[in-house]
Amino acid sequence: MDNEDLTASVWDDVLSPSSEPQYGPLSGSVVSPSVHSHFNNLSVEDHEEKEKEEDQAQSEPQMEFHQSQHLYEPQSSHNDPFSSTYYSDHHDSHDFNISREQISELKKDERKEHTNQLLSELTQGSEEGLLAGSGTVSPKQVTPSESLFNDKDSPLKVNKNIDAELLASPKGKVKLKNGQLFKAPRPRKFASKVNVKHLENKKSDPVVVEKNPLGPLGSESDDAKSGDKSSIISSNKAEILARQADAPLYEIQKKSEEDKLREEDPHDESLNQLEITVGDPMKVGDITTAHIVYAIRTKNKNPSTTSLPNTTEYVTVSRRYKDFRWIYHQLQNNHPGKIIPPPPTKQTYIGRFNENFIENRRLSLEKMLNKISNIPVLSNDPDFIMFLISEDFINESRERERLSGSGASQQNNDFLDNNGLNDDTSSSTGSLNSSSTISAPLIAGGGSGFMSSLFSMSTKIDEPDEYFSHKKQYIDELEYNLKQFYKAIELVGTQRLEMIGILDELSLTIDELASLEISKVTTELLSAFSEIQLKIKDNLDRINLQDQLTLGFTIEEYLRILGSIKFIFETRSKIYQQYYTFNQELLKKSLSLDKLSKKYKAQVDKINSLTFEVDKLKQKTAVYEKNFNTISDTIKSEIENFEFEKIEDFRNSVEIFIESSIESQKEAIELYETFYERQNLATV
Amino acid sequence: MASAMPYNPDDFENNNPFAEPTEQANGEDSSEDNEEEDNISRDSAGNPHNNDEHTNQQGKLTEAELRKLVPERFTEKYSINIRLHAIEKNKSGNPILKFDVAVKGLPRYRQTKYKDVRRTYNEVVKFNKYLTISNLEVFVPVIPSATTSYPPGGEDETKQLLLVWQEWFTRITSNPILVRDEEFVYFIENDFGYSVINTNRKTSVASGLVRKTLKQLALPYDPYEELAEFRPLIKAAYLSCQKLYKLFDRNSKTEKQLSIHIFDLSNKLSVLAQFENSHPGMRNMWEKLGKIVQIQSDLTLIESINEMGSLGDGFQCLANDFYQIKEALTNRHLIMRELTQAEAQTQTRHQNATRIKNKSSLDPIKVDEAIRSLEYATKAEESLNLQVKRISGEMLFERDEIINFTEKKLQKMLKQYTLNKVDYHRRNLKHLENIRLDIRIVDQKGGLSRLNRDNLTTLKHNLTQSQAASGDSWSSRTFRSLKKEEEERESRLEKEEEEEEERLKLAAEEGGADKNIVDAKSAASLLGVATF
Repeated sequence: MDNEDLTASVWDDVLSPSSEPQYGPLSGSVVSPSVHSHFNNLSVEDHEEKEKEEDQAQSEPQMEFHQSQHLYEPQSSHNDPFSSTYYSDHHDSHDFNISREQISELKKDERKEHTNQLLSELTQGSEEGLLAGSGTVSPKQVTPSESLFNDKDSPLKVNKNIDAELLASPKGKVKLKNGQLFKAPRPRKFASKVNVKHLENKKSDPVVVEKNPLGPLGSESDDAKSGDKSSIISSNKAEILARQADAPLYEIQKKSEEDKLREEDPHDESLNQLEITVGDPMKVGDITTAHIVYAIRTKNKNPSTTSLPNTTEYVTVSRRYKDFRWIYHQLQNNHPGKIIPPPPTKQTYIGRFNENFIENRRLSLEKMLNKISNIPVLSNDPDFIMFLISEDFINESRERERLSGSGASQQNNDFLDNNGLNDDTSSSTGSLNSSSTISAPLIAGGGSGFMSSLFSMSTKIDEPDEYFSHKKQYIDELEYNLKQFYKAIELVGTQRLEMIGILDELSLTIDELASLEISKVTTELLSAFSEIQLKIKDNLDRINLQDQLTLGFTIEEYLRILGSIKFIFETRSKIYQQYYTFNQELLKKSLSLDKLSKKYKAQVDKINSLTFEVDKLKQKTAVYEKNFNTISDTIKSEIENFEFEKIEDFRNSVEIFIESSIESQKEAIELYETFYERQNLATV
Repeated sequence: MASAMPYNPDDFENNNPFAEPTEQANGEDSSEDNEEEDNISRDSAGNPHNNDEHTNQQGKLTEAELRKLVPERFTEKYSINIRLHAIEKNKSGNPILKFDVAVKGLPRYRQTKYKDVRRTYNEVVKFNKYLTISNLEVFVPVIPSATTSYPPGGEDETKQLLLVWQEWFTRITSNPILVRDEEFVYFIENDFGYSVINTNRKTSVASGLVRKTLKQLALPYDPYEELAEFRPLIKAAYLSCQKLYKLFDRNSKTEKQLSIHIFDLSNKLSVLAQFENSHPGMRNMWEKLGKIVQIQSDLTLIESINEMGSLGDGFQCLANDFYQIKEALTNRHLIMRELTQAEAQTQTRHQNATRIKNKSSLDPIKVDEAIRSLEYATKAEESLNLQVKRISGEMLFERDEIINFTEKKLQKMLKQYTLNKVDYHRRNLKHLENIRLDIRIVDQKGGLSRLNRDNLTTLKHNLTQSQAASGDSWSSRTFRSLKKEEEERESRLEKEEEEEEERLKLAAEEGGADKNIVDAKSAASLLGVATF
């Protein structure tokens, strides 16, 4: 056995290098152009965007708003009273503003806040406004912490502008996107969004500029990411890259946001339609590092997408189980509130190379990837695409993880492994070291270590929305019931396995008795009977496996999905907790400010600083509130989806269960009837 | 008639000194020789040194000889017919067997017909033991245990016991040697209660430790090839049957456990159904599935019992029988060894006599004594020889009977098992097919049957039962075991009813004996009710 294994691994070693060169050029062509264009876009934007005419600047925001409208239209239908009241608040304040006016107004606010800003020149200012508009990002973005969901407001504001947007039909946008690789002036790829972010950051945060010298340092890591980066990178670009390296998670959030925009647009052809298969589990490595790698074959059925190489060929990469977990956590971090199809549970060390187990896991992994790819937001996630096509996964994943600050590889997988038993706050501690800014850990699943320690002290906060407490209870109960169900099925399975063993023995013993040849008739009868027993055994074995693969598999999968759901619930409650704390603080501070301003009008310094603090807190609270509302809405729609899918999945698996049971019964009947007939038992 | 070393007084007239060495040379395998001689029934007292030739002719008894050895086999004069017709409940494990007996041609019986003989199971077991001990030449069947794998006191158990005990009675009474056993008279004629009368007849073969030791010795030479081969066969069959019994027992226990687990599953499903109140379709599905699973659990439980009842008990019964046969064959070996010893003794006596005869000074007392002891030894040897021959001859008959019986029994067992299985799976299938529609109508999409096509809500679900009366839809077979079995059962019942009627008619013609019994019965039953 050992020898075989060794030779097998040797073969793997021999094979993998030979197969890699095949894909080498492919991947080069796959990754580099996009990255390249990405950077091209950067430079283009830096230098040319400024000189754009006003009308373009005008039309662009409109387009974006239009898109964002698409995005939020379906969601708004799910809004419950809570969130709608929230909207109305904002609505009131900005109700009559058309976008331009609003932008300039907000810009003024910004300026007031950041009087000591380095980038206060006019040109810069105009660019900033322009870009802020085009990025569907309202000026509130100034504070780094709230940049995630700020475009939420835009649909509401722009509602009145729909007529004006008729020009900017989705078609035009598609054009933009398709031509993006080649047309510099209209860069509206996801990369541009990143750019916008960078610029804004640069503008809003003076420290960034000072960080300029860090540029080359930051770009080091980018070299790893894009080997063929051109050498003509301007210092500006380097700076951007530095930012990128430092960038908090929300950048990726932005991307996904745009992906969302894209996919919600029904006419958008740039959606990925992926056909993914997981196969060829192979044992790799020596005794200590032995593991199974799975080959993932991906084919993009939609040729007009840009995120994937435009080939009709399959792209094959090999990933191990750990990597699937990585992408799971990465997606979880990228899309708070989304139910990410989870990977199968981890297996104990023993039995990892069991054939059944591997097959089961392969199936689960394939199902996971297919489910992900069926959710448009997720299937267009750059991390997911990287996962599907990257040749240098280890480094790239590390890079992405660092960028997003997700700590995906270190995430505590409790709920995955224990079928969602207790997912405590430690699941997010991985993000602690990844970023020092406040914003990153916020979205990375609920606060850095400091914050979580702070919250653990805080008292339980009442759930603001009854829907969630109900749902949470429902989910818990469902999980309990499904677990019971699963256990029962497992017990039946093991019992059946035992029976299979006994049947095997029975057949052998009957054969023994037959071979004694007590008489010709008995020998024939008994050997036929022994054969029947063997066939019945096979039948039982098959039906057992089938049951495990249909019902058992589905239940197990749903248990894992419930784990995911619990995770998003938790993320939500963490955000809420943060919002709550900031709100409390804000109240306190504003109270004292009131007192101060009433009583001691002389202490101008103190009042000023307090005002500043209150303002900051206000912003923070607003951001968290927004985040909280967004995630609540996402969760609601996700739960609804989940219910529908649950019905369909369980119905299907029960149907398969019934049908396969029927077939197995038929087979058994047939076996016995034949036996009865052939042995002339009717005449006995 | 056949003696191992024929005592021929002429031998002692012959003073040829060369005669002795020849005898001595033959001494070692004298037993063999003797037997051989007998086997060939003396007239063909061929060359004692040519063993090969002999083995060919060994083990064959001519019919004439058999007629002399086992005359019981060649008459039709005697018969006992026992018909078990009821099993009364008694203390657990000791029910009362009620049977009618018809005796034909046997002496010492006072009547030819006995009605409603009542014997407890333990009494029958004692009788069975006695028969085994006193009839060494017969493979006495062992009465099947009073406890079956069916639930105690149930209808199935009674049915099974009636069947197997009737079978046992038939086997006992169909054996001409057992029928002639005098104990049978007591067994049948005793009014109430029976205990073995001939208790003084102890087992004539070694038992206990002696037996164990003797079994360790090399087997005596067996001239009857069929019987020589039969013992290892039976032993292996015994072991296999025992193993099978254990396996079936384990299997049935596992299946029982499985049915418990399935029941558990059905409980879980019904809880899930109650919990699922948001979607009525889902709820319906879980409920129906729970019900089906529960039925499945019940069926599995029944199946586990049936399996054990048909095959497990059957193999147990066979194993017991085989064990008894094996013991009988061992007994035969022991008797054969005794014969060998007797022959050796005759040999030594013979030598002794010869030596004395050859002595120059003849002591007439010593000569007399030697000759007498030789005569005695010869007689003992002769009777043993006869016994061995009778046993062997009878066992040859019995062997065929056993093989036939085993064949029939196995067929019957497997038939019953198969029918049970078919019934089980058919029921299961029926129930499973019943809920197909419930699952398909969970939502508008209509499940997998729709193959993801849209707008097919109006399409009719093509869900017919696959087990139509005209045959199974999945196969072209029109034959159905269960149906046929039912028909047969019906016809058999009809026949039995007719027989019963005839019997009743005859009984009515015979006289009012029946009436009396009926009265007593009703009186007893009335009393029985009153005592409660």
